[in-house]
Amino acid sequence: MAVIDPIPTPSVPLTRPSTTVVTPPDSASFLIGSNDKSYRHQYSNIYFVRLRALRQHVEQQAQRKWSGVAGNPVFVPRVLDVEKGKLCFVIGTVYMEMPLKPNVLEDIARDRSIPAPPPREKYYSDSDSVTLEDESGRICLVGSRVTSTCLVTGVILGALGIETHTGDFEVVDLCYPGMAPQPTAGLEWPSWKVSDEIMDVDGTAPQVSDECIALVSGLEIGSLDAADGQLQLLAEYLTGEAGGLGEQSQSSCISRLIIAGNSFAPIDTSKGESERRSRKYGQEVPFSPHPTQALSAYLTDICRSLSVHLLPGPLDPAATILPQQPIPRAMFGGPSHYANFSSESNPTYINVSPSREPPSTSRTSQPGASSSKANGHVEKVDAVRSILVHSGQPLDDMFKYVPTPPITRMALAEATLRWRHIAPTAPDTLWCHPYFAKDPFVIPETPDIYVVGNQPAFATKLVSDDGSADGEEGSPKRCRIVLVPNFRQSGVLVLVNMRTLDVRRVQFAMQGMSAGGGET
Amino acid sequence: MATVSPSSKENIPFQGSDTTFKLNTDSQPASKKRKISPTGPSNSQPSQPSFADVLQRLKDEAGESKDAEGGADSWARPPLPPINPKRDSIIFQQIDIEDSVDQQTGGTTLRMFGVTQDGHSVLALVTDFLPYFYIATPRGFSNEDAGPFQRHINNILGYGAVRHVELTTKRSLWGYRGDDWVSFVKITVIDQRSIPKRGECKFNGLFETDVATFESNIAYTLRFMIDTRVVGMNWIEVPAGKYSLLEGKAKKSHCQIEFTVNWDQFVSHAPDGQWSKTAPLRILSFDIECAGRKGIFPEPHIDPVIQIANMVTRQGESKPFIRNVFTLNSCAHIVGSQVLSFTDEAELLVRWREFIEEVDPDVIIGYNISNFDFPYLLDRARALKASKFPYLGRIANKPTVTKDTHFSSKAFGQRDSKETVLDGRLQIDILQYMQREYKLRSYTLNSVCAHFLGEQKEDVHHSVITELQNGTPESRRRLAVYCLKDAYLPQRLMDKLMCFINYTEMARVTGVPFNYLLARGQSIKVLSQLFRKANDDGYVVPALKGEGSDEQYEGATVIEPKKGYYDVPIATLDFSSLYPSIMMAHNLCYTTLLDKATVDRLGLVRDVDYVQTPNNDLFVKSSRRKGLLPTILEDLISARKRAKADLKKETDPFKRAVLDGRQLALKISANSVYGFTGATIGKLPCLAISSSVTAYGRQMIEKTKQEVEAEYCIANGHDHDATVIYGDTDSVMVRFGPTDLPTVMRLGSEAADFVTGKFIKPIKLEFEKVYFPYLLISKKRYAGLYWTRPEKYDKMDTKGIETVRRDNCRLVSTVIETCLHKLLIDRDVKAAEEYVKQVISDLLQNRIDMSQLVITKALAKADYAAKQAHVELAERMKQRDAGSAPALGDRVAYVIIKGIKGAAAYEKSEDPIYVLENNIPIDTKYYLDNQLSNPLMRIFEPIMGDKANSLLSGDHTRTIQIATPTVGGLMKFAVKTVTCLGCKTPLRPNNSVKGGAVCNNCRPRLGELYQKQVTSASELQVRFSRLWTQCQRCQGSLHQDVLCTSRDCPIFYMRKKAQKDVEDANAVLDRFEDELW
Repeated sequence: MAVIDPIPTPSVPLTRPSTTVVTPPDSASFLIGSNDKSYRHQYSNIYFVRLRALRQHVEQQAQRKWSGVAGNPVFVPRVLDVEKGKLCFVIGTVYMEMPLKPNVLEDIARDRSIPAPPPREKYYSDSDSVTLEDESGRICLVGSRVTSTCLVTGVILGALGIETHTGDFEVVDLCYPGMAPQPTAGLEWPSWKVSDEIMDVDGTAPQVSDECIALVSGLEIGSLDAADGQLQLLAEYLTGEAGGLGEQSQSSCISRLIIAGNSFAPIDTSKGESERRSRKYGQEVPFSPHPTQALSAYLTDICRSLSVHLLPGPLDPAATILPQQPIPRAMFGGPSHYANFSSESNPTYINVSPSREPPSTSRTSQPGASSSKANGHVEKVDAVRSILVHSGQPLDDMFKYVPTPPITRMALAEATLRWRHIAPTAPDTLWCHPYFAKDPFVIPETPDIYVVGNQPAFATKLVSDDGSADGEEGSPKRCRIVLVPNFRQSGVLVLVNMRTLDVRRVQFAMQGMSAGGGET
Repeated sequence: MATVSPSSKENIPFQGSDTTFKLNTDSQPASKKRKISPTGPSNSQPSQPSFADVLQRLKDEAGESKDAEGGADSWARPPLPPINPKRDSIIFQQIDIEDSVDQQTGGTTLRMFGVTQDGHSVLALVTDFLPYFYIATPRGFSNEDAGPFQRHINNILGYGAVRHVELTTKRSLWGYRGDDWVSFVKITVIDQRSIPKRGECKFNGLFETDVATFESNIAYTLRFMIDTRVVGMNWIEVPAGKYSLLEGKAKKSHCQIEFTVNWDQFVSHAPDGQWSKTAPLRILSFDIECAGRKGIFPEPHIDPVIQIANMVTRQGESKPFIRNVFTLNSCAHIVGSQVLSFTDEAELLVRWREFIEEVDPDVIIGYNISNFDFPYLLDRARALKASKFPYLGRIANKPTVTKDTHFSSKAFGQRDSKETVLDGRLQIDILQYMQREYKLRSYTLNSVCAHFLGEQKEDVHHSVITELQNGTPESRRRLAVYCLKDAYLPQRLMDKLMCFINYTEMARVTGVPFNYLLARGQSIKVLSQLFRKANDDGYVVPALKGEGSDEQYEGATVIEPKKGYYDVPIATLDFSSLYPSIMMAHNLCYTTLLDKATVDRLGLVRDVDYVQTPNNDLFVKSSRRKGLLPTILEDLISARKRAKADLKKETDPFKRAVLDGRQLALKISANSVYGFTGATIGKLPCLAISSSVTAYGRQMIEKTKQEVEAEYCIANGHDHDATVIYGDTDSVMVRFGPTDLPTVMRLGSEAADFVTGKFIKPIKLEFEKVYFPYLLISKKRYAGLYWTRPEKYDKMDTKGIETVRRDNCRLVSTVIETCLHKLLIDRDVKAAEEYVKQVISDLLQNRIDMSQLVITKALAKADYAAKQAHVELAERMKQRDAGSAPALGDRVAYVIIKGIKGAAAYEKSEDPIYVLENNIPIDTKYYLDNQLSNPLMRIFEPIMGDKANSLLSGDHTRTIQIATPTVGGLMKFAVKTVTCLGCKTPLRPNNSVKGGAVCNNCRPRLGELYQKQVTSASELQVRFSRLWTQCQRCQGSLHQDVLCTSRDCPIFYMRKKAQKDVEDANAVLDRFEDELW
């Protein structure tokens, strides 16, 4: 970012596209309503609801997939009713028996209190076994088909196979619910600026002028160590104050910023703390107002310019248990006064549609803007992009279940779409709220964009499913998966084009500092 | 924090009384035991597969075909090849011998049950063995008088009770009266009932006074075993041609081979060499489930038996080959086990009986089967009029009945129990075994398994059982899996603890029948050995009238301990087998006991012919007569040496187990001889012997102290003066002075040899171990690190400190254990102090887990004279909810709560669940003063001196948090006021917003307070998740609610509390929503 001598100014003032948020239906909400607050239920209800919700989809898929298989496999509705030596298929919940899973009893035996479990890198070991369970009981799945597949506890699947003489179920093939329907798939997102002379000047590809949303996670603002240059650059970029015209026009396409977790710097709980604690016998939670203030100030700057969605993450001052509830907006002071600042739950659906308000002047001045949908049809077409975001915990937890290599985080993220479930390991190893009558992590509709925050590295993939297998009507389903890396370490901001679902990465780095400049 | 959540509905369906309704006995088992270390915490909780998986694995390993799941095709014993009585001898291991009176002839027969090497069951009917006893020959009675005497008695009795009278020469066991042999009349009678029971008889006025009888108080079967040299569980060979086979209708039993043999026509093999093997005995482990009604302990005349699970294992094999469950009503398939479903309960019972008959188990085990399962089944069958049911023994057409027995033993205390004799089958009730052999905090199956197998067991309360039973085939399957597990666990415990092998060896060593070992006390074992040895040597044993006396004698005293914390190595010198070696060294025995008159009569010379013990009793020296007890002891000790030597050489694990069991049995036997002579309510008490033994023991400890201190002193050229800091029964602790381990170890073993030289053989002082550091608290209370090699310590050893007493809460032992660990192993006094302070602070702030505070006691009797906490509580619980109140026999768990000032402890007991639900404050002061303070002071005083008191007062005791109860007297009138989360000011409309979190003054700190609250709520939420998902894993099902109510499980109260806490924390969190931000 060298100094540019004459500061060019655009001939037409840059404006941002304006989008509106469509409230997702209640069923897709992760807010814990007053009916669901109780902790008197056990976790079996979640499994029950999950199995009931997904079983039919698996069965449809399985019937289609295996009806032609030689031996005419029959569907056995209860796992325990499987007959020996007969090819059949069953549907149930996967349970992974893993000796390395954290065990409370062990912890208690060790020091008689419940400390946070020492984080294990992996639960995976050679002595794991895979079982399939329904209301009636459990059966052990064996065979190379099972061992070579990426599976975690809580996945609902169908298994085709034969019960062996030892009572195990030798699996021939597996089948998942498959990607959920995607009503938004066929809706076309309008272009915003098609051709602009400025763009021509720069010779930049036309798609930059499509609306984008920006994704970032792991800002960790407010750590006491250093005022961070990267963060400053990010803010300047987002508000259109940085760089030249190119950058500015690029950032002007950004309609919203989604911050997927870990925005607060973790409170330093190093040695000084433990010493103090040992002397004080009262119940004191360390508190420093600094991160909150710093973050508030930071967000205030950005909110002036664009809409911000903030999700709590694993390190933020929110409950650990999923779904994490929105941090009260009031806590943020400054940005809480802006209507375009939303404090979201984690995970959350953010459904965005192009503004239906009278187009701004700059928009009307572009006659070709939506030529395909002429005659004011623009207003009627409810183009919606549904964005599913979470701050990474489900993926991090699932990642412990599987061997790496070969299974990558991206593969797991993709698998969750086909499982129609974003957090199957909840509640087994991923702490989650004891829901009674619903399992909010079941994916009712495939989102257009699926964002996972706080990942070690950036990755993206467009997953598609032609939908023919479903026999469901509509356009082919596709979903853009983005694994957003931790900003403090990577300096990466991700832009997703709302029309094409293309992804761009913007990297911020200070000179003389490595990408992970924040850390020394 | 006065937020009150709506009255909690339980998550787990029942919160009722204690779960293990079968257990109701308290006991104090014998003290010195081989220790089987509990599975350490490091590997204690392996990720447990659910029991259904275990069943499946068993099946996999058995490689069963589809049709024979659970071993359905292997019920019957192997078919019997034809036997030719002329050519084939029969060799079998006898397992049980009993007598029976033939209904027709009135004669007594002995039935010897056994199993051959090929697994065929055998019944040998032993004929013509008649019981007999002796009386001292009256003056002038000669051989000619025998016939008339016999006729006279038979006339008096009116039937031919006496078969034979003859004169023999014998010696009385009791006392030394010179070496002359004396004439005795041996009276042989037709059956055991004709033998005078009380140790004297009058012959109906024939003699003027009562005549003392000899050997009349020994059981007929034991008499037979002694005379034929049969010992428990040994091998019997009946040579070809000496027996007559019974077949077809002549057979009296269900055994495959049945024959009669004359009592002196078979060979009894001593259990050595090839005859130390064990036949492939069939061991059945079973468990029943009954559908009780809410709050009522199942009663057999009302509540049905709904399931019986069975596991049959062949002795020596590791896995059960039959696994099945009999269920009332349908039950879903269980992989790896056979399910037999019945619609009619009587049919179920009868079919189970048929199963028993076909499988024909030699040994039946289970958990509390003696007092629960068997009596219940029999009573239930009677209630159902299932007349075919009560035939569980091997004798055809002999109904099985339950008797009440009273068991009283010095070592094991008194106990009322029930006994169900199953002819020809051995029984081991693993519960009774545990109570006898191990001193545990709790004897529920769950806690025993947690202790020895390192597993938590899902525990389903009996009221839930009925619900599961009335549900679907799946819910019954769940119950069946649970029942099968309960049937399998006793077998696993038995294998792990080697119960069967050790008891077999015990029976062989002591010569008593196997069934005696659990049903009888220690003394019968010594008596059996004494009789055997006495009869060999021509002694007759007097039948003393069993009269209890309260005569006390001085026990082993100790050298007054020099209390303190020793940071130098302390050597421990032990007398090996002290009491046996004293008896051997000084020839102490019944047969050598002298009285003054005999000394005078025979003109014996003190210290030449006899010795006077420190207790002033007189015993002849072995030069005049070798005592019987010393001989028995020598035999036992040399046999043990042999067994140990063999054990070293043996490589086969099974034979090793047998040898180890044997050497253990020999050791226990040797040590119990002394106790036998001191058992005043026993068969043959002789306090002269036992008091002399302890007197010698005291003398020797004193002498050792003198010798060591005199020898190892600076005056003798040593660097330090050695001091004996403590001495008890058979060991002395010596501080030699040097601070390095190798030197002390060298000095220790030198000193041991040096002192040994000063004593009569075979008394031997051994150097065994060094304690370093060593914390000596008081008599019989000490702790130290135990070193046998200078490189690394072996373990931490504690005596009398680690309280396993159940009237202490678990917190005490946790704290003491941790402190000792920090003091002795880490040697960090500061850390131990800090730890204690932290715990006390946590206690006062109500942050100790409830399970640590729970005290349990069995509700044994309905009316106690004195008021007791658990009885009072049970009564109160009954008034609250009769359904969930503990029934008689349940263990009552309680905590002490804050009560009115001056209320007695029994008024302040409360149900832990109730306490959790209603936020009732715990009486932390009680726990501090009555539970923690004494044990803590005991261990810290030697180290810190007067400063130890600072542990119990000071900064850490200043912050106190008391829960606000939601029930109870005053609370009805109390108005709940919400306070500000920042400054605790009561919130009123004028200083806050409605339903808000803080007062107006604290509003600027809202963000901070919110973060604090969210952090603590978050911790609780995670806790909740972790605990409940763990329970899901333990029960092996995700789709079913956790039903387990095992109060012994460390997380039972924790998960309940977590549930409560998380709701409270969330309620507080909600207040922020109404706040003005």
